[in-house]
Amino acid sequence: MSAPAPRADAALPLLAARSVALYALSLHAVASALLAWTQGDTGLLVLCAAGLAATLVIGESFSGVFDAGVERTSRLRLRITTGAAYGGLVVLALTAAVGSGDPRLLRQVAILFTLLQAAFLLLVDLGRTHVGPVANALVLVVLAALRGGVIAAVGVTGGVALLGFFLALDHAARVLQAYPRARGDLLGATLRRAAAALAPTILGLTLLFILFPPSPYARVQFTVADPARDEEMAAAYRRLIALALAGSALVFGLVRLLRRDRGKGAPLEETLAVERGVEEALPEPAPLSPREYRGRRGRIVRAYVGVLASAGEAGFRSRPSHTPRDLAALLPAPPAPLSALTDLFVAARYGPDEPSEEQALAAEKAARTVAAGLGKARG
Amino acid sequence: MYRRFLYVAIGFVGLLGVALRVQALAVLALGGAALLFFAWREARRGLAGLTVVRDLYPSAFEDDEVPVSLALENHSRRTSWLVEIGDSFGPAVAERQALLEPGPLHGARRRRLTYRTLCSRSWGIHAVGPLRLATSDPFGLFHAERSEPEVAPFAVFPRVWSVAGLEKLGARPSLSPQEITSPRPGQSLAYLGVRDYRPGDDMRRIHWPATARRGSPAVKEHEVDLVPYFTLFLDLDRAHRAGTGLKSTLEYLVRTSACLVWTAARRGDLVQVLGEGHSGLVVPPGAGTLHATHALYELIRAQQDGRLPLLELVEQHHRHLPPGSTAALLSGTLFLDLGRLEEALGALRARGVRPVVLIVNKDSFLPIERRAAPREQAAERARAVGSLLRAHAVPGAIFSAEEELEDALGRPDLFEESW
Repeated sequence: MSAPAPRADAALPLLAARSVALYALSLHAVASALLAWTQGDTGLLVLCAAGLAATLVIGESFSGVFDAGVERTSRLRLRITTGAAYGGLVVLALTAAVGSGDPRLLRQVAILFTLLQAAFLLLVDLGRTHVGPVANALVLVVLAALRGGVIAAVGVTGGVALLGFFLALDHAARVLQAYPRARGDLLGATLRRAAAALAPTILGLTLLFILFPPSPYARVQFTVADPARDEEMAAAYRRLIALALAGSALVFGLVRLLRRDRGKGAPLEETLAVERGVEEALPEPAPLSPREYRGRRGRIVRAYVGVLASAGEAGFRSRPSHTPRDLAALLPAPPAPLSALTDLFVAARYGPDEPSEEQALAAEKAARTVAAGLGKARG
Repeated sequence: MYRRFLYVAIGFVGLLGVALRVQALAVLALGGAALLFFAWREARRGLAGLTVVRDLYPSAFEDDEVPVSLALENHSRRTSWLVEIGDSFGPAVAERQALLEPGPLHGARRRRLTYRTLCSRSWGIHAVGPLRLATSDPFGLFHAERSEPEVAPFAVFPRVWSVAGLEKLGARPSLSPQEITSPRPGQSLAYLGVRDYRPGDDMRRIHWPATARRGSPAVKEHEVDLVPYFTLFLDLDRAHRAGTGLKSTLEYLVRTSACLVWTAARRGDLVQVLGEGHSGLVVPPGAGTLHATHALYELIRAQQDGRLPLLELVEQHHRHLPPGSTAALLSGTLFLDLGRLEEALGALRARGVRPVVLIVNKDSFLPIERRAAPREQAAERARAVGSLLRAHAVPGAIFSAEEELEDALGRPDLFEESW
């Protein structure tokens, strides 16, 4: 409240990077579909790269003009109507193209959705989310997947990867936009987190495509010239990468330069400037001097203590005043095995008799069940 | 939104892949499903080990800016990013306060986050909390949220203004040897006499000439140093309720009491407060800021729900007031029993207590339970009370709803011209 708002918008680099990811996703989808169903000549790719970059920059910078004065309910109605119409078009176009198996029709469909991609990018800032261009990119990837071969493999793998990066940047940008007073340079960290989260999926997809190269849709009767040779394909992808890099740089620079955000905030919630202290190390927990429990008694006690340690790692905080019964009532774990484990622990820890082998096994089994169910709803 | 879209799109693409036997489409659906799975797992683990604790001084005055400190602790081994914290600070206008810890907050680390907000709401006991922690997976597809259910009370005291008139009335130097000491052995600078030395006496108090004369140690004795003593009798009779919100008798009574207590405490008086609502209001004598804060805390919890008339309350307690002290009678009505008022004032005077009478004219507020007295009758009554107080040279003031309390209490001639 009292601190002045940061002069530089912390979300701006993320917004620009999000635009780049959206541009890359769009270009990748369009190029995949066009390479699949047209000759994929250089001129067409350059035109697509330039056109998509231009429409995206215009959309990011000026589409606020389009929705100015449109009421919230009208916008919602518009979104629903447009979504339904677009969904109908997708189903119709794919049904016709797949049903006929005619490559000319597939080519026309690819060009139609390429144009639609440009249209979506032009209206990119109109809705709350960017589902429109993402959905259309997915349709283009589906068209590319029907072609099979390297184009399908690259289209699918690249599509999933770029979608992941776009979602990660979009999420980080939205969170920072929701907290206009927050400061943080999150671009690098967001990219690293997204890469780490995507890596297993992308590696898995790549491995699958290497082991099982995708075949084209069986009903398509190819009438276009012989499939492109590997060198031609490689050259086409090299050109595509160069175009994507140039276009991305252009989009990043222009979006950072031209984008101006309109302040939005919930009236009942104030987002506050935060004084961030330095990161301190948490005090080390006091070293435990565990009592030596031997034999079956020790196994039961260790199983119970292990469950408490797992619960502590999951965020559960116990107090020294809690009894085993209190803990059984408070722990977010399946109650039946927890109750059984608690009974066995109490008997082993405080009882006079040495537990039986069956009891020790039952305690270990219950501990495993409880540890697996920690954090799940009780019931 | 994206998550729902992905559910539909993955389902559609998967079905298409299976129906058309296009392997790439099936793999695309598989890739999307894997993305969703990893996102779900990350979101589920996002809050594990994260705790937040609020550190807040539990009271403030109206319009004060309050720093609220939150300690965000990461007990896990993972680094946390983009942790959203929601707090609910009752005295602020906004229902919720939202903060962002952008990160990184490394494992086994803690970071203190402090936000500042204003006590914009009126005096009273407000709730602070619960705290809410939220985070998402890196793609923002799944959201994890947890509430820390701890709700703590926070006392907002009425804004206090110096009662200039009271300062003039009660201003006495604390080291005065005249009126504020008592001829009993104590620690003041007023000299009482010399007596024989007893074990435990301070060596600095040895009276060397007397010791030389007597041949045995003798020490000086001083009188007890009496600090100024201020008593407030507060009228909490339910019959004197009138008005609503900021223009109500309770508001005026509590605000006036707070100002009197704060002014007296600030100049070093021993302060006590006595009132009789449904539950008794008793603040025992004490000095200092901490004691004044305690008195304010008791005052903001007071309600006008008693049945004991103010003058009866004075009658019950006046015998315990020390000589030389000041007693303020804060009434909610002009229509006091004048005979009993005269008796009470006489009794206080007889004990050497200086009385001050402050009256909140309930008939100038919007009536809520009973009819207000006609203006002429109220004016007549004000004149009668004024004559009585003037006759006994008792300072006092009448507050009505038309007056701004801040202006009225701040007047240096508050107790001089009212009658």
